[in-house]
Amino acid sequence: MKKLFLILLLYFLALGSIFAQDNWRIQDISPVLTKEADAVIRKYETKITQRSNYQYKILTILVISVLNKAGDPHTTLMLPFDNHQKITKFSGQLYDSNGELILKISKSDCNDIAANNGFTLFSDNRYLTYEVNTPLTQYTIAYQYEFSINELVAFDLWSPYHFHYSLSVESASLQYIAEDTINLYHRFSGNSIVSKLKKNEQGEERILSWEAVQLPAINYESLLPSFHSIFPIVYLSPATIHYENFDGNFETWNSYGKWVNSMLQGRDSLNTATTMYINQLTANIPVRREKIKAVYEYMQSKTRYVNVSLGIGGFQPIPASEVDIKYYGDCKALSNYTRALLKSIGIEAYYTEIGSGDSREILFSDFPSSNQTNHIILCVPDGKDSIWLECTNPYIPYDYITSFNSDRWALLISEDGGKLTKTPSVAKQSSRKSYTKLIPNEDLNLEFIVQAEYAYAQSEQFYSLANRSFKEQKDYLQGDYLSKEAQISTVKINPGNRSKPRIELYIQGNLAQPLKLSGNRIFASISPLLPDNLPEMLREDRLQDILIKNASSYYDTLEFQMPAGFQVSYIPVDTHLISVIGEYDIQTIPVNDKIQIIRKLIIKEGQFQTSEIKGINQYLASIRKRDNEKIILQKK
Amino acid sequence: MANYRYSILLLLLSISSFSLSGSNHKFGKITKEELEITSCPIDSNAHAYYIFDNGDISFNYKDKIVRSDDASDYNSGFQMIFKRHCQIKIIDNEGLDYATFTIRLYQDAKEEKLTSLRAFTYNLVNGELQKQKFNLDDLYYENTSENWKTAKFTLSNVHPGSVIEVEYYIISDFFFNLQPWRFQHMIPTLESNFIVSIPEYFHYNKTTGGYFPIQYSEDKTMERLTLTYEEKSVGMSQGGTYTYNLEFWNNIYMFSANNIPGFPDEEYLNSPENYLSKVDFELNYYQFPNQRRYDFNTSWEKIKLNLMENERFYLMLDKTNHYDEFANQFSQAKIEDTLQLAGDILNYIKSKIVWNGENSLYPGEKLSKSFETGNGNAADVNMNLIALLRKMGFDAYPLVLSTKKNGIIHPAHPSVMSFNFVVAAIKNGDKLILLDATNPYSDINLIPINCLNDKGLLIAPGTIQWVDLMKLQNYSFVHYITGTLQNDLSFRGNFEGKYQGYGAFQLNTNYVPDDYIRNQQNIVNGFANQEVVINNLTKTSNTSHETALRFNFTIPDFAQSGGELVYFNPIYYPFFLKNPFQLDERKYPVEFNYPVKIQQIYRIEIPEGYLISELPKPLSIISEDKSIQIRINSVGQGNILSITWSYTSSRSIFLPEEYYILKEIFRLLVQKQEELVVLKANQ
Repeated sequence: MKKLFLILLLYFLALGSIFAQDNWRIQDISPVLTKEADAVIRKYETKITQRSNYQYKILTILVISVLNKAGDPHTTLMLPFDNHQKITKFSGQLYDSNGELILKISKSDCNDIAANNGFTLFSDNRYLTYEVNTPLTQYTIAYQYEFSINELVAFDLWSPYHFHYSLSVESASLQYIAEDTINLYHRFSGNSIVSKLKKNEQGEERILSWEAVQLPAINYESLLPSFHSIFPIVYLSPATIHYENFDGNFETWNSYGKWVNSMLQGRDSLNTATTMYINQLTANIPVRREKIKAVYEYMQSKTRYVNVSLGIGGFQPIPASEVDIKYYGDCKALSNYTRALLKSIGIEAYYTEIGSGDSREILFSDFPSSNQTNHIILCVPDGKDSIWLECTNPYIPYDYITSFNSDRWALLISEDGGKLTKTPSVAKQSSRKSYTKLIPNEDLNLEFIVQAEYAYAQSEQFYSLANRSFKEQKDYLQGDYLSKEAQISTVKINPGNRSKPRIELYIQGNLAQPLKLSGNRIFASISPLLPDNLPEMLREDRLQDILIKNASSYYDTLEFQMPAGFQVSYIPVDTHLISVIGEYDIQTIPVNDKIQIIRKLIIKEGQFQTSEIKGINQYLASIRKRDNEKIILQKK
Repeated sequence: MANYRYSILLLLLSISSFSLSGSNHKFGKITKEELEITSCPIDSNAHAYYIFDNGDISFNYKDKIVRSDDASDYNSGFQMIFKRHCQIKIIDNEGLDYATFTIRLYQDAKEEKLTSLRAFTYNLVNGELQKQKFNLDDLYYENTSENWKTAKFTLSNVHPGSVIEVEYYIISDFFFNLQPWRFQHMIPTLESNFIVSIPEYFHYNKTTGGYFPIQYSEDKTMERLTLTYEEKSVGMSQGGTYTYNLEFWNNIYMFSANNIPGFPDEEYLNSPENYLSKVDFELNYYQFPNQRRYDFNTSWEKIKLNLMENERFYLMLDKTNHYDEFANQFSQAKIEDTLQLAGDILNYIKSKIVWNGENSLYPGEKLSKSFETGNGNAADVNMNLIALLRKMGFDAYPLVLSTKKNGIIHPAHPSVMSFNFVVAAIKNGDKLILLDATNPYSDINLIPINCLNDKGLLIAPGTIQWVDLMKLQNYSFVHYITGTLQNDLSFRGNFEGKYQGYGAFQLNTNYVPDDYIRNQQNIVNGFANQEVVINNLTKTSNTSHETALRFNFTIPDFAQSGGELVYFNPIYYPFFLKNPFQLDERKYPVEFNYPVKIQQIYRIEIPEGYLISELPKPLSIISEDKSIQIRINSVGQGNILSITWSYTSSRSIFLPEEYYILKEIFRLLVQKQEELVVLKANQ
């Protein structure tokens, strides 16, 4: 007992001496780094040691100086752990702005919380968290922590910025030290990182390092390109893995796919009753595409999304036979289940791994790693084409890839391993067409009728709403959606037969604000009732590119009935504007006792350089100005 | 000797208890009709509903036989047993989430246990009732935090149309943690019963609250309990078995409600807890025969006295050595400048201890400890404030209250557990001054908005004193906005805003220090115009009560031209950009935090060569009880036009019946704000 005490004491002394040499005075930070920064990473060192038998140690030293209160959140630490990844050491120190030590932090000061997010019922993931609470506005926090890892599938992405905006970096380094032959593939992005291969004391090339110094802060702004292209990132992936008794070789996406496939073995059998039912269901459908649709819709109607992932359950689907009893599962389970259903009628489908949404995407076609994906969908070969099935949502139309999964690499899994394929793009087809009638009564109150058709990405916003009650639909459209205050009397949202990503919307009601009489004139504002996603004005001194992802076309016609006793006094001039980000066209046409306004707005997809900002802003301002112009009517 | 044994038994009795159960719904009873139903009988909008939801709390005496040679400390007496039994009908996909259950269990040295869980899913398959049992392997326990564990499970084979049934028990040794019962959920409930049977030894205060009425009745039954004590012969003692029969009354409280609507998520509702129909039980005291009474609390007087005698509360205020540094510094302060000194003390505590975000009535540790570490819960911070005020000679006391989220305090149901926050109150003549140090922008009589919830209780010697928290300060400001319309129809102007009371508090809270760009953006967003350029933005505060905001601005596309006419919207920096009340009806009251008194004065200079053709007409909107008053005035003189706009509201609550009044007032206000000024070229 006494011995243990001594050892512990020595350990703490040693740790103390490592950090004693550093001084973290705030005033020492270079002004280049304090510009537009709320906090500065003084030092960020991660040292990964690859030991034998798929064991790793990862030691991290992270020192952050906070410059103002907005920098506080950057100091919050959330360290993930589970049965494979344990936190073996943790310490921290808080320094004032002069670098004087004012508080020591130990593991017992941290919180241990379950890491189940909103869509996970249960998993074995936990977080050790620490949050700094200090009255100081400027201070420095230093953390030292070590993970001991027994088997892993992927390393976390590493960035000198620790993935924070409004934070600059004095110095950051990542080291990978192999005690044996290096078992690693690696990549990095961003020209600020310097990569080296070093020799160890025995002269063997077993140390890899990536370093970056003096990086200015990056501001968070609207329409930023994905964080993969904003932050410099080091991607590490083990060359071979052994995880919960599954072996994998991650040399290529093909071999990676073999590992995924190995976990699917024997997981596609179904109850006889289900097999019989599916056969009966599809027996009289002659067209193959329609058979697949019937199976997909059966799955959608029967199952729901519930995520329970324990151990290998993060990577391996629960068997189809189990889904057949529980009728719930996560993306892996439901995709695998649908695959099994299709197989029972002799249709082969590929279990497909993909990086979905903004946070993940398969970036490198020649560098496989599990941290580039986060989702499973299904791909059914159909002659030259493919049918894409998203299995986690009851409303998504058949064979619609969705904007989350569109236009990116997907990995199709089969006995032969993985095969990368690009998913189709939906941007070009995303559109809204609408026809709106505005009819004033004697009191100049306006009745309106909107008929609109939304296609592709535009239609996604209505899938769930289409299945809600009238009250919910009305509350949403009235409260959040329409650009003018209104009183809705009728709503119809028609998803058709869900074989196409298309939604029809019909709304009828009254606007809350009547036409207003100024003297003997009316200034009628006839702008669309339905909103569009025209970007906000951009900062002129912006440093990052502009990325527009939600491309869309809007074709709106408004038919305005002239109120009795009035005549047109002024009509705004027809306008046509073109920009790198799209096109705008508006025409006002009086026809008898009606005025027709035909408006077209096209927002193009693309990444634009900062040199375009002036032009884009001018374009946006002109559109807003023109949309605001009023038709002037005068009493006869 | 017998006496001695008897006392052992009662000792055991005291640490731990009995059972009674009642529910008219048999487990597993389900009809085809219930499965065939396709919409909720009381709300066609519901995605799911409770067919019934029954709760039952009883006390059970666990170890009725005690042996003298049983050395373990684990003999338990009374235990509290909570039983829940419910059936839920799933209507459509959006209701599927109600098949997932999360049950919180409290733990410290002992832990609450979830037992006898059984659950079924019922479906109609080809006209046949099919049932599927929940597999206990799919029950998970999450260690959520230090004192809470969460049991989680979801039922299998659940589809639109399914009925699910769940029953479980929670066994608890924590008498203070008698679970509140909610009659109301997000979805409708056709029937809800809650029966609580409490042995006469236990005394609870019960509080029913909420908007939807609950039926209540009482009953009592006589219960018998036989306790056995087996004494082993040791030395002189012969040993033997002794039994004792106890008879006691079981008080039964029965609550029920039918056809309870779902509880919606509504904006401008500060404390949903105030309106949700529910019943709470708070342990008052317990006392076993021939034993001392274990008091919790009984009346507001007692609660106050308990807090005043509590080592973890009032008595802490006397340990004040850790403030010597400050005391020496300020000991010469002039007594006549009382408020100044109170303000200095407040700032000193703010600079020393940071609030860690936790609400609490009791400090988490010694005052000197939180003072030293520099952070703590709300009570750590504010009890330090009170202690220092007292040391410096102030007549200062704790004022305890319940935050908005925590719900309102029921005067008829004394309960110390309803308080979750403490602020400082200084007696100044017959007036009280309230102070708080948890929020950096708090000041004298300006405490955090979350604290502005009905009333607080003053913990001071003398008679009970409740303090109204709803009219502490106005939210007020005056905006002077002047500017000139340029020949190119752009606009250049100057803004000067004077914010007071909660107006200043809110401005200070929303204003991010050192973040010019974010602040600028927030201001730009307040303009009705799309494109606005802000310059020379400054915020100055003399005190937290008074804050001034100044900036210059340019609006490139301010006015529009239509032929010979030029028009623009003169109220271009409106307080209400759009009507905050867009929905048709409201089920619960609309609550405002404080009285509001705001005014905007616009002065607009128009260029040479134009005449004013039309101005917005003056308007006043005054609600019947005069609690809301809006006045808009416009004057055009030569090339200057000025518009004055004011809004006052003195009420904090509007009932659902009055919702349409609010909606209409704001509609008219927005309509007025959109009215145009029309200019005509002067030729």
